[in-house]
Amino acid sequence: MPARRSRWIDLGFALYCVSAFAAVTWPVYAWTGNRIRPFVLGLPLSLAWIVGWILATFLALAIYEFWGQRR
Amino acid sequence: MQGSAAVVATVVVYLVVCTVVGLWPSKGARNAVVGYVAGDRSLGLVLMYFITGATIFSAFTFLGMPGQACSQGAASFYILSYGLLGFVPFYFLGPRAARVGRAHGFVTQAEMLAHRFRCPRLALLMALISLIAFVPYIALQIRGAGLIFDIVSGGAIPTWLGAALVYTVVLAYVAKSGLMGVGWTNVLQGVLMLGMAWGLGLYLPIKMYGGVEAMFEAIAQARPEMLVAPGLAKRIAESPQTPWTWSEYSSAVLVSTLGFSCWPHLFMKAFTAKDDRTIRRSVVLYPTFLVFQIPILLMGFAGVLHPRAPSDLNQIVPFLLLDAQVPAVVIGLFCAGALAAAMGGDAIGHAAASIAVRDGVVGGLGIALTPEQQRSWIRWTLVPLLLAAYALAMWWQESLVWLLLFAYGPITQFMPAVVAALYSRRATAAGIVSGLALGIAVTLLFVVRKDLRPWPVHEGLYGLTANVLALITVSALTRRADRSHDERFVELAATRDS
Repeated sequence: MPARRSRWIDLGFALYCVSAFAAVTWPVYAWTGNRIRPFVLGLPLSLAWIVGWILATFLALAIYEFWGQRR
Repeated sequence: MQGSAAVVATVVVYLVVCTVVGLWPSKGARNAVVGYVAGDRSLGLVLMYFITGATIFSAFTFLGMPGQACSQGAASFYILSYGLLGFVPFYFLGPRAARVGRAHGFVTQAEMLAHRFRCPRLALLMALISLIAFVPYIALQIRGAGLIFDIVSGGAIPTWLGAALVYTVVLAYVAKSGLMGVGWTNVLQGVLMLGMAWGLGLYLPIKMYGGVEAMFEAIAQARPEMLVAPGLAKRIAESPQTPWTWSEYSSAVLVSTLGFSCWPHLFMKAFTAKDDRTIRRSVVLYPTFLVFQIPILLMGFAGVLHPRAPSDLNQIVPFLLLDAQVPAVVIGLFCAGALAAAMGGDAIGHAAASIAVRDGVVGGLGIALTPEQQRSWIRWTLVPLLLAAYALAMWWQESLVWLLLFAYGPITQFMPAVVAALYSRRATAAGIVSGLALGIAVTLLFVVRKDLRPWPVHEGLYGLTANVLALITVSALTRRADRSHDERFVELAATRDS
């Protein structure tokens, strides 16, 4: 894989990490996911939001690892 | 307790199985320190997954986390939030550490740093900090294990006896089998904990409220403040419970995220994996372990609207189970799961003894020991270590949590040093030691005197800022001892092998 494309993947993953951190802390979490309703799979949105980011992080890591192997 | 004989029997059966599983791997263990401490650097993905996953499950997870959810509501979400990215730094640091570890024979984090900066006293300093943090941590696990026996036997097996029984088993398999014993018991403990967590995490809300959503709907009607972050602050004595602040919640998530990968017992697992890919994939799978903390939170939330509560909220789940009159075998299985979590002190004990001998005796004090002698010393060191933790658990209970908070602050200060060792050619020993010393001093100052903090953010954040600034400034002002050594070290760390 060309070095330039590889750098874009690293940058994309770094951006994802910053977004995920922002999403579970103030102010992004306070303005977006920190609500009781709607309930998602029985959980209040405030908890389901964090669970969603955990699953998204698993996917992001899996994709990053997959691309890393192809480099 | 009704059916307590059945409950105790379930727990005892689990303890026997654990002993057998823990002692079994010793048959294949190599007679050398690398085999004992790092499993001959041969761990595959399954063992790595459970060993790293087991580090987040402790007596606190099964007893303390539901208690926190029950008393502080959404403040407990902070644990999930820092876990989200807490292990990601290990994806990058772990393989680099493993490469230099394979080349130079490291099995602990401190000996890697001492070698990189040619500073044996650094190993001694880190060993001391680690041990000061580990002993109260093990003490909490020991106390948790004793409490479980006390609860399941209705007081017939007192805390001191239950704790002694469980940690004699732990001592036996850790001393005999080393890392492989810890690893295979972690697999057994992990499977049991995960099964119990999901089983009871869904069972309690269904039994008490008719379902998970019905439970949260009832809490939303009666106590909505419990379901939105940052939740409630920890209650202090008899004063009224106040909301936690966003600045403390967010900074606690940040500090824990940055420091988590550098906890010594976790970081040294980089030296146990068979290759880089195993380390990276164990990080990829790590968030799946976090998902298993959700049902544990559900158990805690089930107690929020309960008309009665135990005096010690750490006992909320056994209390609810007894109150809901569930079958004795279910209570027994929960207690076995909690016991499995409390036995997580095995990995810490193994790491603590290894660090005491490798970093303290061999690295710091410069006492020459053969690999066989080192293994023997580590085994014998386990005895006073576990005895000290046991004594602390039994006779100094009041200050244990405070001591743990006080001790874990400095551990997060290892992060800048580890990053500098593996990435920076320019960092010097003087820079590392100054950063570490200043970071720890600032953290401890603000732990003791919270009122002196300029802003209400986590004290570790002040420590990390001071640490990084001192590291960069002093490194820029001091001369490197051996430029080519630093160049080779960082280059070796950066060389990918898979």
